[in-house]
Amino acid sequence: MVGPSGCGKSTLLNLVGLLDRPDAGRLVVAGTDVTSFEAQRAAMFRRDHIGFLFQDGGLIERMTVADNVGLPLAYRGASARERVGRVGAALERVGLLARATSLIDELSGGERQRVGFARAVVAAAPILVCDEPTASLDAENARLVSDLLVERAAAGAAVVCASHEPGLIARANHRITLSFGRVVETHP
Amino acid sequence: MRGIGHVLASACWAFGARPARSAALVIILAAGVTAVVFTASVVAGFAAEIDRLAFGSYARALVVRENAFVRDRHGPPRLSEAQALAREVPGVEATAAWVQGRSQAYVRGETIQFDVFGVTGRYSDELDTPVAQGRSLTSEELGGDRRACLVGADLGQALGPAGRVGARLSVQGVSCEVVGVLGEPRSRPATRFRNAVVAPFLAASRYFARQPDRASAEADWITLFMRPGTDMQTAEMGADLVLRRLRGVPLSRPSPFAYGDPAASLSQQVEQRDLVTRMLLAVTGLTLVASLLGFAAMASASVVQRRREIALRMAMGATGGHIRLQLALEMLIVGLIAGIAGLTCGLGAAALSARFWRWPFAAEPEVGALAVGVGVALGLFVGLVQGGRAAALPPSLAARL
Repeated sequence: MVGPSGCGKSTLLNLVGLLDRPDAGRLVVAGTDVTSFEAQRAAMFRRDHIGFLFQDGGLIERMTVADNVGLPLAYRGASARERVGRVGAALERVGLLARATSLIDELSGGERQRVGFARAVVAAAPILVCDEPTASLDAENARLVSDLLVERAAAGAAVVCASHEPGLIARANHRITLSFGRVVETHP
Repeated sequence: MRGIGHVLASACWAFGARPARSAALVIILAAGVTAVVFTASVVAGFAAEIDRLAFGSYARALVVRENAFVRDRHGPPRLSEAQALAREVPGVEATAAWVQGRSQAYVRGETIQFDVFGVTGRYSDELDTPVAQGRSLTSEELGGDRRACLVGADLGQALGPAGRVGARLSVQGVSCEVVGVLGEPRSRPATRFRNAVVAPFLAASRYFARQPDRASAEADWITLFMRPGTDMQTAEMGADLVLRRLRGVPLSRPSPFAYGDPAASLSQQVEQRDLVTRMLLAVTGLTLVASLLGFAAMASASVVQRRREIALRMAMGATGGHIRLQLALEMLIVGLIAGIAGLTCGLGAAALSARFWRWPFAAEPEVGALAVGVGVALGLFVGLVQGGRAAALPPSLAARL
């Protein structure tokens, strides 16, 4: 999703991620009509279907890297052994297994975003919602995160991304342009 | 609900993650609990001291006398009945049997009148006066008829050398060895011993306070000292049943004995004590309300500070129930720690004040339960309210920087 600031990219992402409710219209996510989902059902839908990657990583401060990554699994009721295994695998994938016991406050911006990515994919959610995932990163880290997103899409997940980053936009296989809250262009 | 274990772990994490905030929450709630514990302890200790000053040992004593108003007289209570009462009435801690008479002595050509008390059993509670010179009556003396006696402070002064330790005092024409001189009474009822002689029961009833129509084993009154918390009415009924059985008096007839609870009649002191208690409770109530308001405000501010964390948890799949439970558990932990801290501080302050003002220090188990209960209840209440607020936050806050 591309478009100027204030065009509604984040609002649309929040709707797709069931973080907000639409005022009007119908919302269908992964084939399910979620328009009338109340808070409890929306939470369970998010838990089972959606991973989030926020602009700043969206990590909880004063918590360890491993605990942050394990949050989606914890709310799914995964056992401690399962969590350790899957969190380890996700961190290994982003090259941060050695930082598993570090506190979030000790990480650089790029590391935070990679931890955020590990958390977004740890539960193998079929939808990955990303809001400006590379906006606050240097070129090298932006490239790294882009690679991870493309890799995730190639693995079969729907990666829905709002971005201004030309490198990331260029790698999208479907692009929509928003303006003043409306889709003005789709590609292809 | 899935993820309960994680919610518990998160509550513990939240307590430790921000130690300064957690400590502030504990301190402000502990202040309220401290006030409750301090007041409860002081009220109990202060009440006990007022009781002691006003009533002495009579604060929880039952006095048994002959009922002078019944037609078929059975006579006064007997020493053997004191033992039966001690054995059979629930809650009796100790007994004392007393006989009382009036006597006079001639000193330097002057007649000095005084009371004579004969006693057996645990008399020191009722005497409630320290021995200033010499010694107390021994248990052998109390059980026999040795002519030994204690002299009250005023009487000792009036008697001069005849009232000193080792002197032989003539009471009713019978000499009695002064073994001790009493000091200042500790309580109001004990002032009656200031101008009196206290002797062993049998010695008094046979020689010094002789009553022609009275057997030597008959007492003017028997005092039953009850354990703390004993219901005096139940004790009175129990004593009456025992004595009726011993005397063969059916329940259809009037009791041959009268029972007195001397503390019950001194209502003015009780009112004064209750007034102080009410004032302390009012101050405590205000402190508790102030503490609760401060605690609730701080907990509310904490939720505002943690809006993004809460929203992030919701984005990761936490339901409103998870959030409510986590906040409630967090405040429950705070309440539990504050309760224990408040109990410790309150008891410490109460112990110090008891030492400073010289009243008994009362540390009852109910106070501990009250402290922890107040802490936990306030913590849980505030936690549930704040948990409800947190659960109502929009999860879209997670996406905002």
